[in-house]
Amino acid sequence: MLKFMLACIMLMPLVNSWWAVQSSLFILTFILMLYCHHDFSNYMAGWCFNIDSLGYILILLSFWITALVVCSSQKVLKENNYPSLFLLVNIFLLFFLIMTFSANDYLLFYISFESSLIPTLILILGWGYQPERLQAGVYMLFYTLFASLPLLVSLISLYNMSGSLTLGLVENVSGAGFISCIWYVVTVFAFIVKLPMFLVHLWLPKAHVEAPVAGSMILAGVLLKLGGYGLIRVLPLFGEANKNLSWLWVSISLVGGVVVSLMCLRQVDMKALIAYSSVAHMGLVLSGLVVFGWWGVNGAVVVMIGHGLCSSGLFCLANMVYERIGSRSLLISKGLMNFMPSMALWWFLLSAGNMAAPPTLNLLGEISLIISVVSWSKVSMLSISLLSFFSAAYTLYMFSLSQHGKYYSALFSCCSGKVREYLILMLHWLPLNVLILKGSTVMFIL
Amino acid sequence: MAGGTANVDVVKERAAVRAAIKKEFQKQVTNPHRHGSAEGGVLFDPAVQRFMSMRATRYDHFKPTPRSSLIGIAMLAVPILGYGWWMKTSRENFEAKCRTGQVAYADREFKFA
Repeated sequence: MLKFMLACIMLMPLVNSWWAVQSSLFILTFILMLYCHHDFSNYMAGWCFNIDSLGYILILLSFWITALVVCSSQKVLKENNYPSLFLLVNIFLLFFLIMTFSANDYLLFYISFESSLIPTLILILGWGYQPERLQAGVYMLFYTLFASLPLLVSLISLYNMSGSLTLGLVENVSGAGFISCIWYVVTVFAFIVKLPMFLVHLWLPKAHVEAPVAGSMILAGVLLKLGGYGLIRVLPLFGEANKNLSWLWVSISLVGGVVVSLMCLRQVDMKALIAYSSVAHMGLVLSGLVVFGWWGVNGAVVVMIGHGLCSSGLFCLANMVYERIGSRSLLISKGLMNFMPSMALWWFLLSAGNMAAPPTLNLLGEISLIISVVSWSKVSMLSISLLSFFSAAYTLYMFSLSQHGKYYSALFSCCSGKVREYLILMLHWLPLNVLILKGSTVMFIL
Repeated sequence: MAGGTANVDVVKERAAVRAAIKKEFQKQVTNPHRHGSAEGGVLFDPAVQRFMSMRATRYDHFKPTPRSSLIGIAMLAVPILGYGWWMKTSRENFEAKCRTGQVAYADREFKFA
C-alpha cells in the first residue's frame, strides 16, 4: 500500500504544475485499477496497512473522485486563486483517505478519519463562496468531533479488553447488557453522524452547499462513505448489542429519509436539494448496514459507490450552472435545456442514477438494501416504498425545474458546455452505469 | 368579472405599476455597457435575493413556541418512535413464535437473506 501513499506524497512537490498533478492522479487511478484481483481476502499487506476488497473499492473511488475534482476546479487555476495550495490540500485529503481505508488498526483508522476533516475544513473556508461557510465549517467540525471523541474512548476500552486494536484481533464485546449497549452506541455514533443519519444530519446541507465544487464532490463522493466503512469495520464487534438496538437506527434513518425526501421537494437551492438527497440515500444505507445481513452489507457498499459517483456528478453539474449563471437558485437557473441541450442529457443521466433507475449501480444496491431491510421486518416496507417514491419525485422535480420550461428572463448569457465538463460527467456516469454489467466488482466482495 | 368603479381604478393602478416595473427591467436588461463587460450571470433582482436569503436564514429566525414544538414532536418524534416500536415488537413476536415452535422451518421466509 505504501506504493500509493508514497506516490501521493511525491505529488506534493509537484503542486506548482496543475497539469502534472492532474495527469498523475488519473495515471495513479489507472495503476490502482490493475490491482483489482480479489483472489485473496487481504492483500498488499504491510505492517499497518493492507487492503481487502472493501478498502480497495473505496480507495479507487477516492482516487477517481480526486482526479475529477482537480479536473472540475479549473476556475481555481484560471483565476489564480492559490492553485498550488488548493492542489496541496486535495492531495493531503487523498492521502488521509487512503490511510483511512487501508488502515489495519482501529486507532490508525480513527486518527486518519479525524485527519481527513482538516483538509475538508480548509477547502470549505478557503475556496467557498459565501460568508455562511464559516458556520458550515464549524457545524461540520463540531458535529463530527462531538461524536467521535467518545469513539476514541471506546477504542481505548477495546484495547484494554483485548490487548490489541488490530482489525480482526479485537475480541467481540459480548452480551447486550447495559454497559455493552452504551459501548455500542458510543462506538457507532461517530459513524452515524458521519453517514449521516437523520437527526444528526444538520452539518451536511450546510457543508455541501457552502463548499466549493471540490469540497462538495469530495464530501458527497467519499467522506460520507467513511461513515459506512467505519460501521462495517466496527459492527462485527457488537453482535448482540446491535441486534437489540438496530431497530432504533433503522427507524430513525427510514422515517428520517422520508422526511428529508419531502424537504427536498421544497428546496429552491440546487445544492441543498442534492445534499438532502444524500441524507435520504445514506438513510437507506444505514438501515441496510445495521441489519447486517449479507444482502444489506453488500447493498450498502454498492450504494456507497454508486451514490459517490452520482452525487459527485450532480454537484459538478450544479457547479457548471453556478459558473455560468451565478446563482444556485432553481428559480433562476431554469429552462437550461434551451441553452445547453447536451448538458441536459447529462442532467438526465445522472438524475436517473440518483433515483436508482436501471441500469445503474444505485439500482443494484437499492434492490439489495430493500431485500435486506424487508427481510428484517416487513413493516419497513411502508417507509421504504415512500422513500423510493419520493426519491423519484424530488429527482424529477429537480430535473424538470432546471431543464424544462422557459429560461429566466433576466439571464444575460450562458456559455455552452465545454469538452472538459462533458469529460468529467462522462467519467462520473460511465462507472455508474457500466459496472452493473459485472456487479461482482462491487458486490459480494466481502 | 364583477366590478365597480373602484375595482377598475385598482386594476388600472396595478397595471400602471406593472408597466413601470417592466420598463425599468427592460432598461436594465438591455443596458449596452453591461453587455460590453462580457460578464455572464443574471440581472440582480432584490426581491429574488430577499427570497433566497429568507430561505437560507430560516433557522436564525426560528423561535421555539409551544406550537412549533408540538409540530416537531408530532411529525418527527412520534413517527420515529412509533415506527421503531412497531418494528421492534413485530420482530420480537415473530422471534418468540419461532423459538416456541409455532412457525415451521419450511414456512420461514428470507432464511438466507
